[in-house]
Amino acid sequence: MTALKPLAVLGAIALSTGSAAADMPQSFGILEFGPDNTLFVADSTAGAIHAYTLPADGTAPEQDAAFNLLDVDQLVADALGATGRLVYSDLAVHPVTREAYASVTATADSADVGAVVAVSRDGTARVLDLEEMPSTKFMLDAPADASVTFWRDIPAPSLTITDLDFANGELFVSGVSTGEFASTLRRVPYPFADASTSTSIEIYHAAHNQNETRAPIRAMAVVDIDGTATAVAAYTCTPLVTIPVDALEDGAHVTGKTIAELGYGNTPLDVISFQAANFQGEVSSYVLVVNREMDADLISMENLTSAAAGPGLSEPVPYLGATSGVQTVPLPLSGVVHIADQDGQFLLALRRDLDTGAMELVSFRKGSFFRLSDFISEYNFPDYAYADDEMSTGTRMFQNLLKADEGFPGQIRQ
Amino acid sequence: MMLRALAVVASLSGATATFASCPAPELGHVDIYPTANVLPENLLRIYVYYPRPMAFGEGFANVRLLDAEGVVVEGAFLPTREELWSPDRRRLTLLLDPGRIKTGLIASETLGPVLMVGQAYTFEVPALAVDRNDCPLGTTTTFQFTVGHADVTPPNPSEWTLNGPTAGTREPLDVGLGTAHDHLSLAFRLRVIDADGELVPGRIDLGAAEANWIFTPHLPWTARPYTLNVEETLEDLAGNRPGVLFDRPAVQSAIPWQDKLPFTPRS
Repeated sequence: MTALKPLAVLGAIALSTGSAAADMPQSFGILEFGPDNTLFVADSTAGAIHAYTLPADGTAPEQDAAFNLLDVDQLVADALGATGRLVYSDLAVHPVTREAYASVTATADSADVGAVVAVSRDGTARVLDLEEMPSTKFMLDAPADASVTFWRDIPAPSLTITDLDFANGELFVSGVSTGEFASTLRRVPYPFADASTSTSIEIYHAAHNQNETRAPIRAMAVVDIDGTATAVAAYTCTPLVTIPVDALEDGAHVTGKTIAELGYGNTPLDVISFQAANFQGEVSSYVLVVNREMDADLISMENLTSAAAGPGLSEPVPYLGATSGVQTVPLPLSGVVHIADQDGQFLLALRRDLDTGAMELVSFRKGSFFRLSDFISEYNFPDYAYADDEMSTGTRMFQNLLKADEGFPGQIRQ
Repeated sequence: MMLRALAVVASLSGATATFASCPAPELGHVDIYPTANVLPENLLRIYVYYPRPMAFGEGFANVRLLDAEGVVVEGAFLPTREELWSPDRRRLTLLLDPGRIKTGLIASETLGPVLMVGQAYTFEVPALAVDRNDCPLGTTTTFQFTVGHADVTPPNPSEWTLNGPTAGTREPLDVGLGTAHDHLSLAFRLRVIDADGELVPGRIDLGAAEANWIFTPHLPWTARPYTLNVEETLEDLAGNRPGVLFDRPAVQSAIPWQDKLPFTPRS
């Protein structure tokens, strides 16, 4: 019963170019860093992934430190020389320099202006000169055969790339088709070759009564779960699913294991994995799901591992809004549009100020996952006196740490 | 969103010059698929073809589904961070919230389906929808339809009728599909292959309500056998595929189906 093999797979081709001058992305989407100063840029319009080799001249910052840029729109607009509305498609952190790389499109002019903009902690923003960087390109879809024409102008169905993750020498690509309703996860080896594999994935949606779905993956991360490389994928409304990477063979139909229902009426924006040390210096791993409509969900690797080893969800959730499955900690990351693992101590986020609409580029200290300067509380009054007990001293020390992080060293209380 | 809104307000309040340089309103008509006047309760997609490239980030703001009383049906379309535009920004794919289509889903049972059987609806693309130059379309396009029972029968190529063209002519191959199918699927998931396994060049037309697939070869048919090849991703209006219903697992329940329909032109 196998019909025509999907053209997308047969036709996937890799192109190498010495310089990208004639071959810039038509759209700037998801960003992902790879090995050897490689930056991947997803171009949904052209159905392509570009791999740029960045200059290797960056140096690491002397210490982990927070970003506190409260109006990054202006910085980016100035760097782009563009006016009007900016759409941020993704955020990634350079693995050496720890600069923020944002994929941005200015849309107010008659032609969209897209770019990758690097932003430093000190507020310096520069547009990457991608044309001058060595690059290669991988085409996800072969162009339709022009020898068959249509009754009217009909652009082919195309894949809008929803996420990229680089793990173990491969790019994992998820997307939404503008045509078919499908969940397809592709593995693209890097350096790019002519072939990729394509697997269709189904999930059990525990908000269903026994029905499954081929809904598209919205965001994902490939993580090591108990020695097995595993894609942790989030879907709209919001099942969380694990899929062992080994199952992703070309042409296979795979059923992912639904380990959580994080809640209805929500689109997950990002799934990231990161490590964080506690006050005793013990390092633990986490997966974080950042949501558009709800709290972010923090999941410890311990809980993720036991959920992935378990049977998964098989019972419907009992009512609209119910959640079930793996234990999560809700984090107050409202307004976050994109998030990335910054360094040992911080996560970095593009966050929309809900009052002013300004786009911020700010860090969140791992462990606290909030910014003290977002709040005015009794602690802010000059006459507030911290008590002398151990708990109050701990609070004072921690708040002093956050004040220093967030650029308010003058408010540190002794 | 905010800046965009301000820009539109500004051009409305003051600068008629901005509008004056925009295309004429009679050029603002859009085409909408599917085209049938009766659509299934479990309709999955509506496509809008715009006359020119549209502004990004405004897709959902620029379409409305109205019930018979003219009240907007809230939450009809699945919001996606990346609006599903074609590369040329002239076609927008709108997914009716699958959460409200799939049987047994909590959202479906709580909020109810988007479309109610027997009811009339109007899908509207308002005149104020703006293109990427901030020019409004200038013409409101509406599409009225009524809702029939859910389509719970997957496409079955074995039941299609092939008219059988005559060898030596360019008579169209007319394939009766029985029911309406997704127009994009019909454009890209059906192909005619000759006896040597080569793609046959030609033109695809669709019959009324996308229920017929009509193929006119560029060169006359030979008297040798051909096949009509059907890809497994072909979908009907409800997202059903051959052998697989939209809301049932393909992995366990796929039933065999015929993906190659042979035909030989009459001599």
